[in-house]
Amino acid sequence: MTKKSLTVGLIGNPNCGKTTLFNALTGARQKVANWAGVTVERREGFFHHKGYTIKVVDLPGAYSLTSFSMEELITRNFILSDKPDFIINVVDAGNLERNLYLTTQLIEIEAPVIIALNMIDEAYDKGLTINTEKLGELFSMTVVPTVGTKNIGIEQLKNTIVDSYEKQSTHRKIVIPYGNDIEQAIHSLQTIIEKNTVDYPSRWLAISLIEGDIDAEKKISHLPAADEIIKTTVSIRNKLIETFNDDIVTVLSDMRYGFISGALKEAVRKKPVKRYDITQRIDSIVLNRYIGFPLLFVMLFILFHLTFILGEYPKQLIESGVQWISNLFTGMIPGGQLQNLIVQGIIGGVGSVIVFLPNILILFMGISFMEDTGYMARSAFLMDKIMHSLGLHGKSFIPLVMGFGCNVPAIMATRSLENKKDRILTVLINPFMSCSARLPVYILFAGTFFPEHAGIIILFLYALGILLAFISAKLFNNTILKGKSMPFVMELPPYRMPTIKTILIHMWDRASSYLRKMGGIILAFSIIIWVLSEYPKPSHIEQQYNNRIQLVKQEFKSSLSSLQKQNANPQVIQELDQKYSAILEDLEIQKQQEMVKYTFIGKTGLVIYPLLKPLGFNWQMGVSLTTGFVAKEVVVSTMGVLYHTTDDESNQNLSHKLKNPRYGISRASALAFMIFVLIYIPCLATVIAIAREIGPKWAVFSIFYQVFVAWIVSFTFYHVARLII
Amino acid sequence: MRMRRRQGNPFGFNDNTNTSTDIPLSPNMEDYMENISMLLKEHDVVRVKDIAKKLNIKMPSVTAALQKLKEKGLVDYEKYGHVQLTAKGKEVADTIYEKHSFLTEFFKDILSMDKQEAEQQACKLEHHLSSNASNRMQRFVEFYKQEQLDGQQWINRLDSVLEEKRLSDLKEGEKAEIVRILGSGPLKKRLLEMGFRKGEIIHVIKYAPLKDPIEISIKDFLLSLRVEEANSIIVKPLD
Repeated sequence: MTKKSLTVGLIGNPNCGKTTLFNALTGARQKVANWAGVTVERREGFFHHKGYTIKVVDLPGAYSLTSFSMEELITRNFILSDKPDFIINVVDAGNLERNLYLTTQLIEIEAPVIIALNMIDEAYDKGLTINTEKLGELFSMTVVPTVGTKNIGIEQLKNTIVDSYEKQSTHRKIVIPYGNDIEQAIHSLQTIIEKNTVDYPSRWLAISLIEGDIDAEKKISHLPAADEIIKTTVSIRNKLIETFNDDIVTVLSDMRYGFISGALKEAVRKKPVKRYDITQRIDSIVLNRYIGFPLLFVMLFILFHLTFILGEYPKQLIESGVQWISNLFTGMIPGGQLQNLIVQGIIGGVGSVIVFLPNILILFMGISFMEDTGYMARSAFLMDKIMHSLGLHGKSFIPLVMGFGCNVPAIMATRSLENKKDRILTVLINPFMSCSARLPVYILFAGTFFPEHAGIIILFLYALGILLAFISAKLFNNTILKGKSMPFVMELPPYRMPTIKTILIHMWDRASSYLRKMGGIILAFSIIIWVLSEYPKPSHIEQQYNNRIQLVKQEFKSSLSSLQKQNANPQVIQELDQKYSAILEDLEIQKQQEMVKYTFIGKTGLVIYPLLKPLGFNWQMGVSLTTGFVAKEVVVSTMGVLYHTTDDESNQNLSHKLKNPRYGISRASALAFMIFVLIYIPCLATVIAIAREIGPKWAVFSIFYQVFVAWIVSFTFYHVARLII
Repeated sequence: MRMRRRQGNPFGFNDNTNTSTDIPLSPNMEDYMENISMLLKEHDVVRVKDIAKKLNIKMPSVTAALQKLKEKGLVDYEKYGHVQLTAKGKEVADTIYEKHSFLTEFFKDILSMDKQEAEQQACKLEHHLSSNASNRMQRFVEFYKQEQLDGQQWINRLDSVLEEKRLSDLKEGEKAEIVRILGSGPLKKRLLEMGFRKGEIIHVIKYAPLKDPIEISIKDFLLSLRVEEANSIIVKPLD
């Protein structure tokens, strides 16, 4: 038996249960990519049935097939260019009239359509009886009733695909009738178009042209008769506008709806049911004037808590796991450069990639739950006024709040935003939300330099971040992201219980996309930066210091033994011990500092140091900020190295050393430093997340913008603070 | 022809063009004239006390005003005596009253506003119309009435247009029928394809706690619209 393969496209309105149906058809056999040239997801899966391998392409949700949004254009071009064997039009049975509008356009574009009449159970509960045969007859399509969440009708749908293919059943071709005036207009335009060879259905082209569809105009622009077509179109359109005394888009859409309601009158019976409308009941609580917002904040608190507080436990588990493996390798591989590379570079790098996983998995479980139940749309409804005043969308709110935990999953969460401009804006201002990794820096510096006001200082930093986010949003909106904003018009879907399968697939989807798309790059960069921070190793300097240390140690030993011989009292011996320890420690610090200065990162830090001097930073701070590019936690650990404190005693000891006047850190420069850490380049993983979500250009822009703002704001605060404190 | 626009009057006085006489009167004074004339039609004698009561003003103020009107030769008035209008005063008062009554008609009968509001608006406007504008407006009111008697179609159309509102003017729980969608572009297109047709019924479910956006239901689904978007949907409220 030869295996034959078919391609079907899945198309439908948002919230029609398309994704659930897609999951029911393909199970976990899916992969996610982007549509060529755009950052709209292309989800593909396949299944086997009766000797066929059937590829299913999940097309973006759309209300129509105009060229009005990116999603619609992708869907339309997929039908026209990829010529799939079938289009499965998923139709929400409880919301037939609006859902069938898309179907009328599929008829016009002459796509081979099978209707999946989804959520037929909900329609039944609404008191609707749908005569699927009749409906199929009127639309000249096969109609299969399904319930995606309960796996009902899936086999039948699969059978229908194969049967329709084998029978090559030629459905009678129907058209949406537009009445004499318009039909004549369409016909005359069609005649001109058909004189040329075109790859697209001529009736569809004619109608689209009359509607003023820009993409359709583009599609005929290469034809020799393009000018004639356009000219005829314009005159036809003007005549029709005169006839109907209304614009033509309105007239045509009205007639399509007329066709639909005619069909529904024949195929659908509605009996009034006294229904306990659960959606409105829930809405009256969730959107309540007084408890709507508190409830939203409670939900967000739970989401945040689960993601970042509960997520801390698996995170620690992963960290200790990585530690365990490091130790294992340290034991196996003889010490030296190779051991260093594998243990610190590679294993450390892998560790830095997977620590994000628990957060991502939990956050997307939450987000998937909120989206699938319908609460996400409600949260946008509540927050839209505030967000819109900043040029954002109601749905920007959740990703921004999640930014306080970690910017990486937060930036991934912006996918709930359908509009590209809203998404870019939300991603760009996300790094201003002070993530938890920046907190150790604040705690160290605020605790050291402002011990009585540490809390206020930290609160101030968070507030400053939010303020800068808002200012930046306003700024971007009026400059680089200027342009017409898309209509908000957002459906508030009925509350539904999500299936565990959908949530699991969504979680897996995000996690695997993170690992595949970002993991590799983060790993590669981590290793590169590790190398830069370790090499070159100035062995001569190390040797020099080791020799000096050795000498001091010998001197100490000989002094000690001579003292012991003299039976000196213990106090004298102790003094000697202290004196030499201090010398040794000093030497050790000098050695570390000299060695760090030699590495690439150290050199970079020294090179950029003059730029940071006006902010009151010393060179150690400059180097820490440079290494802090990997992750903000590294800022503190680098300082530890530079001020030579061993790991565990860290904070107190480091804090003590920072205050040492020898290093010249004033309170003003400490404040400026914290502000700089708040604002400058988020971290390597965030930069990569930005590049992956909205494009590398924006990631580069974000780096420059953040550093620039960090410098300006720190500079201002440093000089103002110097006058005050 | 060039339109002349007047940017209000800082002294509260009208210029000569607004009444048929050449006596400039402030809106306040015109109100006195109008009310004295109305009182005279109802009673035989009018005293300061009656005017004060009708206008809800203190007696000394009325006395002062009457003094001024007397100087202009519009009223006959002796201290503690009765108030009478001079011939010239009658003329002035009649003009003002005439304006008042056709303006009231205009608001009440043509624009279908309720009587009280119509009266209030007329009282405010009557002092600011030029004689030319008031003549033309009066003719318009007469024309409308004639057309109404003749059963002209446009009268009904006007009536229903006056009932139209923007969707954003509706309150929670109100229902309305779509009349048309203003503008063009993405918003209109999206609304059309979602089924916002003429005659479709919209139910305003809820305003967000911050009064924007609005939750509505249409056909069988719920939708959230920003107020500025709801502004471009013209509806006719249903009971």
